[in-house]
Amino acid sequence: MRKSVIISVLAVFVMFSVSLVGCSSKEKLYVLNWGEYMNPDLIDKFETENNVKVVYEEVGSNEEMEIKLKQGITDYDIMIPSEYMIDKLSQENLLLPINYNLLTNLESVEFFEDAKVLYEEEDFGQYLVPYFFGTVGIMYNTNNELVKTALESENGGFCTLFDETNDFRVGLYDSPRDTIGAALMCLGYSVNSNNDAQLGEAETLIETALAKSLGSIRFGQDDLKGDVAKGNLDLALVYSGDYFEMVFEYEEEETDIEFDYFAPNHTNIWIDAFVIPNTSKNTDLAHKFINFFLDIDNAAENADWVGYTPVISEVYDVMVNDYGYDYDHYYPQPEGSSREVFKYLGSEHAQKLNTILNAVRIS
Amino acid sequence: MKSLRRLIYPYIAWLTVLIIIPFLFIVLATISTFHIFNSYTFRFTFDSLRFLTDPIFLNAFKNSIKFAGITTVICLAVGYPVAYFFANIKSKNKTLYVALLIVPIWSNMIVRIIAWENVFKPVSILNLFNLSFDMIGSDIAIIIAMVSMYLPFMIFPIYAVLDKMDHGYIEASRDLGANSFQSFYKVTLPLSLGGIVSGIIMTLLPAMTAFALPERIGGGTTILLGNLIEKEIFRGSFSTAATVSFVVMIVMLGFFMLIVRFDKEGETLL
Repeated sequence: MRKSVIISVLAVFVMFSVSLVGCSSKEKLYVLNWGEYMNPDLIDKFETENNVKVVYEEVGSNEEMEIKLKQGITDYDIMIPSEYMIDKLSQENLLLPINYNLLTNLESVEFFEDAKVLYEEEDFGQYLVPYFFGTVGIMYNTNNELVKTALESENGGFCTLFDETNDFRVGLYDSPRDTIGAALMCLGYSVNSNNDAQLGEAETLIETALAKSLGSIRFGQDDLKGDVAKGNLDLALVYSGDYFEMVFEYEEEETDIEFDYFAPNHTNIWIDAFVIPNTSKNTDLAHKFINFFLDIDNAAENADWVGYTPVISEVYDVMVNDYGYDYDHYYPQPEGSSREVFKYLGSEHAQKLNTILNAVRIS
Repeated sequence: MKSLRRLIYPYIAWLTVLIIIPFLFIVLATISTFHIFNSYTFRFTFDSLRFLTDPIFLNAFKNSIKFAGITTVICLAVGYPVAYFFANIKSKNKTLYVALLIVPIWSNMIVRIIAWENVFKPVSILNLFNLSFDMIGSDIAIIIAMVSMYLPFMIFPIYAVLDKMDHGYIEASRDLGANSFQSFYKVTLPLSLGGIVSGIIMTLLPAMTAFALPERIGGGTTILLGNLIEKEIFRGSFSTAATVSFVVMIVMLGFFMLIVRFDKEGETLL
């Protein structure tokens, strides 16, 4: 009997010990970020400069980040979620306020005013340091010239996604917030509308489009950008980051780029930002990490690797003047446009959006 | 013999940690607010059972039954003759032919699903032959892909039974005056019933719980139970996901009891 107990214990031990492989004695910083969203050379540089080990983990969505944080298996020191998730996590008291005095590099940099006004006044403003920003917009295939004309027409923009008379093949984002947000903006309402009548109108708009389109509208996620680039879709609702990713991929492969990006006049801005979750055991080092990425040279090197629009004006200038980037066309907030950020309006609101998207999907 | 019995303990430990405990968690999550990551809100509630009347669940359930049902019928209609043909082949290369049927299963299912997905999109390798489909999201695309995925699971149990069948029975029925149709209908078919039931279950169950296939080929508008579970989990709604999983498990259990009834020796369960 004793032997059998030993064997059982051994079996369980082997299972758990596998997860412990790779431990070392250096001070550790646990970072949770999106895939391909930070230059690994800079992480190495930070490790060497501070003689620490950065344990870097990647996820594919804000929700996954939330789940990982709440699991409590790893005590993360740094996370880089988007604005509405920061709003949610701060409302749930899961974030620590940033001690801006520890961020010495802040003195020499300035965040874009346009981005800053969107979060500064919000309750969650004290919990974040912006990382990158961009818009939600429409990626379209340039082979069909009608698409561009439709997007730029008076009733174009987000409404093009729901205008079944065009006969375009359309991709919508399989996420309640983004697709219903686009419908709300087409109707001229706020992306954060919690008004039942307005949400009802948005639902009808999507539902009618789906019913009349006879299958030419479909929902997707990461596959949308590739399908627009290849010509399997005429246009799709995407994040500006999706578009950049595709451009870099095609440039690397030296393939002809037959797609472009359109940001409607009224759209929302996404801001991904550093936050320090309350699981952090090493807040000083976490601040050092954030400070490291506020250094202009580091931030520029990182922006060049990631390819998204940097949120620090000085870095933006370096990218345009020294690295030769042409953001003009993609600058998230050109003159004359109106921009909002997503907010977290409680679980009831999230549930409402989910019910709407489910309802239009099965209608 | 008794000393060998000890070798089973690691397996029991493994089974407990990876199957029994997670299963209990699923049951618990179905009937309470149990959340593996924040236990402090724990209380018993049957709220999530209400999800079983939600239109999205009913739609997913209906879709699962519909696609799995159609797929199974087509697989049976195609699979039985194929199995019959291979079982009656009189060639010394018989094993080779049968092995060829297994080859498609050797490549990863996800790879095959993505291959179908690309074929069903307008820009595909088929353009070389001046063909172009735009079928993502259509029922027919899902059914074609499902049949291609699950057909081998229908063929093999039937083949196994037909191959082992004593041909003496058929000769006897012919001697007694039955024509070839009668001897098939009265002898071969009843004797292969166990294989048919196994085949149906081995096709129906994975088709009902299919997840990656409708995800890639359903265009986000066709949702099956598997997709619903995934969506609920990523929304953070563990108890509704657990409830749907529980329903799926009950259905599976029902089918399993059916197979045991028809196939007492379990010989067709490969």
